[in-house]
Amino acid sequence: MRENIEASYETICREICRKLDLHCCSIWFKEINRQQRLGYFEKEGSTDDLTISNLDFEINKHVLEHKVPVVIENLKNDKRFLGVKTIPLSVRANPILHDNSVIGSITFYNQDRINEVLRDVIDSIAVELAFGLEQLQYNFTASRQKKLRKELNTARIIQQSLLPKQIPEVQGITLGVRFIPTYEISGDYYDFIITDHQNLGIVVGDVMGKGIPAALLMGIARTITRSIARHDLVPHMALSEINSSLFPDLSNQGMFLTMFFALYNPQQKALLYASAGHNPPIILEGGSEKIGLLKSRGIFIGGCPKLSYNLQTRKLGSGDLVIFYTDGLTEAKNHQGEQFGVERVAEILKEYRYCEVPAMLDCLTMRLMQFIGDREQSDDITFIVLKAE
Amino acid sequence: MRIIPIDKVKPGMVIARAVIGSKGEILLSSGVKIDETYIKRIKEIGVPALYIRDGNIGKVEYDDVISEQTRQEALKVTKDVMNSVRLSSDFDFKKVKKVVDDLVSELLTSKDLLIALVDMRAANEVGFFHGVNTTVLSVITGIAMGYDTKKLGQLACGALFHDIGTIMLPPELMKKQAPLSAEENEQIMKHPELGFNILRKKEGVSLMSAHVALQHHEKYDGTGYPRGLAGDDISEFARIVAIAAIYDNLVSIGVEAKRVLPHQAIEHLTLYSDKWFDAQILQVFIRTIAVFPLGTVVLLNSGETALVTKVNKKYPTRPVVRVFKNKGGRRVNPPFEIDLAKNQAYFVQNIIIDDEP
Repeated sequence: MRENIEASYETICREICRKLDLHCCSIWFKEINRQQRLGYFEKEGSTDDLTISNLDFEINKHVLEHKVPVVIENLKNDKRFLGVKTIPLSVRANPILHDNSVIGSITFYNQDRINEVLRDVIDSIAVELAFGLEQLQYNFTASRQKKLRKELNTARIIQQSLLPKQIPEVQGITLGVRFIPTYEISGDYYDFIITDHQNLGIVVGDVMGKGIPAALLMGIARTITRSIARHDLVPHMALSEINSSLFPDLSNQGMFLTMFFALYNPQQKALLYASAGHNPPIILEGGSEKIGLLKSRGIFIGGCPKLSYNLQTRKLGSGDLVIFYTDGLTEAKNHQGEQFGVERVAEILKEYRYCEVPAMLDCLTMRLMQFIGDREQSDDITFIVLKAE
Repeated sequence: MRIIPIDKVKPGMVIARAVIGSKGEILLSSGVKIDETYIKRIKEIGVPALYIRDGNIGKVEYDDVISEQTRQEALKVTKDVMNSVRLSSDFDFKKVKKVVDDLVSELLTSKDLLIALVDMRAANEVGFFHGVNTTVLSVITGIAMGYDTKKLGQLACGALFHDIGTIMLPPELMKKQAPLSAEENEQIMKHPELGFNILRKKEGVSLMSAHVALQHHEKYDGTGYPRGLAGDDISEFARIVAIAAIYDNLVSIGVEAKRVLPHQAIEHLTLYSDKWFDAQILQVFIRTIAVFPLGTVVLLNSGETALVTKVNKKYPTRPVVRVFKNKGGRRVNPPFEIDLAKNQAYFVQNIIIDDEP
């Protein structure tokens, strides 16, 4: 079935090129943060010259991300996508919309200028394709989770858009984050907040529960945490405040969340932290290779109307590594049902401690995914690596 | 061009990068179509994997850190030196000086490059190829440590001949496979001193280079040989070469005919940091290695299968990859490339060793 669908998009691209005498045509399907090529045809195309094929990825990425068409009169004069290479082609790339959201894109390359008649034909093809792509979206997701509906998908997109897009640059440390969501909505949450006094707030949280309620709660928790954290409140006080603000909503729904809150002070190179029932981050000391946990006792948020938390302080030495995470990381299971576990994470951190933070994230991720293997990932996985210089 | 483990190589496949013997001789040239006889022979000599052309994926262009000509020249000079030492305990330093200078100046001009390729070679033979690879790795590390040309030349010379002492040992012993008897081991453990004696007497060879031969088996914690030196008592050059030589043996030969991938070699080296190796140097060294070498087949988190076509010095785990299979396993034709450094939503989920063309 899927095989046929894929083959038919290849055919569509080829036929469009033949009928309209175009040089090249491609159709892409939007996934969250990513894109999948459904069909592609290039006249006299060969694997020895992938210029257009490579360019096509970039153009469609732009269309899918920005939800706008890309029109290029002549690629020769356009440096946006091609850089130094030039090809004498004109381009029209259209988003494919369904219910006002982008579900895909279609791009046409022509040797001559794309005139108005051709443009109208192209635009109507994009409209026609919307239905098919929407069906495809449903088909692809149906096999993973039958109940998944469009609303859920939208909620998932909104939820992910609430996570920070940029990692702040803070003097004396390097930060990196990896978020590997599952196909369902769940409640992993992290944030970086630069406070009024230029400290860095690091938040990792996990809403217990799944689906829309978890996503909504995460959204609320984020807003409240941001507004409280901004004013340099010490972590244990901050968690107390967050709990007081969230408790009424949480207790009504019988929900709760765990949260780890850390405040990094760049002047003193110190990490102040408190935990609301969250997994203790792992610390690997740069000098001694000693592994420890940033433990701090505290009840999860939503447990009682008034809660107090413990403040802990830790000075960071040169080369110290801290990994903040949600239980998705340590509780990820392999085929035998064995858990990834804190020890394994610590061991892997040790093995890659000389790599720079981005490489460390990638290597830890790869080792984790190798561990999980064919087994389906059952929970969101989030981890943040902090390395002190 | 993609890396294929030897047990997946089939008759009819075409070689994309020459297979070089441990003495630097070309066993199979690029462009040769492989038949059963070749496969049998390659298996016999123990080369763990080959670079194969794959027309469906297209060409992979790359700049090697040193030109093929310089590599061949370095191999030839090493071979001549070894032969000459065996016969007369002496060699022509002028030739060595020239090839070392060429090597260093080429590496200096290509210092933005990572070691993007792994040249697999036969195990269980002490050869020249190891010397040349070790030199390239050592000099790149030296460059990253801010060495000047003079120091790089001395380092290169030491690295190139770190194993020169083995030429004074009986050839049968060098070919012998483990386990060795206590006596045989003792004999082999003499090669650092033998090498040192050859190099230190030679006019033009810096004593710093000679010390590399003497100390490359010393370990940072003092458990090495011949003298059990520890920490900074081991010359810095020798500390660099000790790392480079082990890394090269790990990735080029593998362990028990199984390829060791660069990330696994990193894990291994880091495990022995401060025990065998100088942690500071190791840290510099690790950042000069492409975690995913060119020609590696990877599985992306999008479910797509891709080939590594360009490495990135700044982000060694974020190469440019060429997608050639979609998540359903269907061929993507023609393939397209994703620059992982610019597309953070994508990452490598696994290395696929047994994907068949």
